[in-house]
Amino acid sequence: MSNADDKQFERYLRNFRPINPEPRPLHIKTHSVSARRRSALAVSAVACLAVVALAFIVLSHGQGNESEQSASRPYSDADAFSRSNDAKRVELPTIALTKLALDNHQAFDKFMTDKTQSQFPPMNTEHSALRVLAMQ
Amino acid sequence: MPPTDQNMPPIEGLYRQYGGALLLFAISICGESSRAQDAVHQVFLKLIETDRFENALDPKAYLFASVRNFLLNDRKVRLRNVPIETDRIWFEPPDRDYAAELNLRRALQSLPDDQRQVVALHIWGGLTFAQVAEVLSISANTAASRYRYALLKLREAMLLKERSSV
Repeated sequence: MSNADDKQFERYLRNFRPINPEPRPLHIKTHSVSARRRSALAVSAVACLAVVALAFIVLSHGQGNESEQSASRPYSDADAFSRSNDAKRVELPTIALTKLALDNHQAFDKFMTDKTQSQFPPMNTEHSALRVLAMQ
Repeated sequence: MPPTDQNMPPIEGLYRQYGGALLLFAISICGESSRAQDAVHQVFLKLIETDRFENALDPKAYLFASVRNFLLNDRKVRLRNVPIETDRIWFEPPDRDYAAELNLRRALQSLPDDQRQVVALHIWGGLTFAQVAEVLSISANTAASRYRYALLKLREAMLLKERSSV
């Protein structure tokens, strides 16, 4: 067989082009059940934290407003008297008390007296412990 | 061989240029088209990941050697005892002559593994006998001698088939 025949046969073979590899299939990552469960837990934990933080902010903001309102409101004598009647329940803030002491000394004294008396046992009844002790 | 685009990244260019020949070479080793495709893809993916390709002295021979090593490392291929797949085409034939494609494919299948690999590397891979020798870890003379035997058998098988079909 001649060399020329070989070359011709090679040329013939080269006319056949090998097919190219098929595109590699794309594997879309699907999360496993455990991974999905973990992510759901993480999301719910974050949501809980957010709710707690929001509640804390709202509550602290509300309290701040309340104290700000009471502090900013001008304190009148009438207020002081009306409050002094149920001093057991009313707790005036320090700023309001200071203002009252500076502006109206008598009202302040009355308020403080009421407040002090409300903290002692009642002496009005005839057989109260304090009255019995005083008589002895 | 299809020409490569100058603006293309080097690895993509090589994939486009030698993908078909690499696939044919891989089929000639393992006999299974799907495993051969997987081998070619894995080699290129590894090249992209490791970027060791830059250091290769002969990129073309390196590619073919990588595909061969990948397949030889696969235990399933080493222990294979299955005949070469015959149901999928290996070539795009000239003038859509699929009868000639089938004829060539059958002739290639009839060759011994080592001769088929040399033919695939030299004819469709465009490797010189020195490069073929490097890829297959044999001497260049052995590569040339296997090629001559393979070409002779290939032509005889194809002529025989053509005569029988006429």
